Amino acid sequence: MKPELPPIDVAPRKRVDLRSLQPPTTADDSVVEAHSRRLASEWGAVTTVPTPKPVIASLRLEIPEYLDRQLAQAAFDQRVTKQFLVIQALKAAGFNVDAADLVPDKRKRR
Amino acid sequence: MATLSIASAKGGVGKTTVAISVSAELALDGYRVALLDCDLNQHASHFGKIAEIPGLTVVSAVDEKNVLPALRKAQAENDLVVIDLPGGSSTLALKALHRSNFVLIPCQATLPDVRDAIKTVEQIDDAQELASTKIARSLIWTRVMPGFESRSAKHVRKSIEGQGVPVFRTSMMQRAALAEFHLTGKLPRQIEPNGATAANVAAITAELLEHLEQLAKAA
Repeated sequence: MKPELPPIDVAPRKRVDLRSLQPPTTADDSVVEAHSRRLASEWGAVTTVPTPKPVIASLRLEIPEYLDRQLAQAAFDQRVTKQFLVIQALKAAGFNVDAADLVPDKRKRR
Repeated sequence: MATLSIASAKGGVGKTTVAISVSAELALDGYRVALLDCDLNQHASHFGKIAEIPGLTVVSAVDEKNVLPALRKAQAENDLVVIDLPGGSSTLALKALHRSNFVLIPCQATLPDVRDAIKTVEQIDDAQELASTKIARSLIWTRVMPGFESRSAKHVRKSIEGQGVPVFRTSMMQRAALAEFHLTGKLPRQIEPNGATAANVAAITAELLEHLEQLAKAA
């Protein structure tokens, strides 16, 4: 004859205060969007929503003629536009420039 | 509110099965749970339509454009938000990872699955660049045959477990009852509370809660 097995005391799961957890990233949605898009381009990820075109502003510069000549020469040598060289320099100086806005020669897109 | 993403760069690994199981199980335990269906196939949304589980809200048609506002709304109204992500690498998934406390990566014990799981781990690391706290993550072996493990599956499993990638102690077994909830809208515990599948889902959910509790204590 088999012995009677003892009852098993199965306690209910302990309740965890899940509301105390905060999201790990508190950055604005726009920052998360931009970061995700950059990572997605690196990973070759699928993107279903078209990238919004940034609003374009115009910046007119007055620079010494010798500097303009250097810019023009460098642009010719590198097969890029002077605008690209200026934006590239701003990025190197620490300004936030999206990768999509750093185009060597936008005229080639047309 | 805790946010859990179910992610893998590979499709067909059991993401939706894991997402529905833990969401519904915790809702049955009394938690308020939102399940965000980001998968184009919308299988979780179909489950949400036929299931009658108090405390569980399934949010349909979450895409790359609306995921962040949808997530914020769900976080404000629930104890836990579970995000069922589509397979493959996507901007949608990357956005969700940024806002997740924990990422569960379902993975079968095959080399293609493991390769894509590692890719997902690397994407979590990338998303973590903006985070002030660590985005915890763990693999979970899925579609495991009860009572049998092939030589190749054992080799793959042991290889990954020796590389320092966190892996759930509990695996999700290959069970017919897990496929049935798409038809019935009921979890195994609602149909056969003492069955093996109900115990399996309960064990996975308990392990998940352990992880979330540790994160809550550390916060």
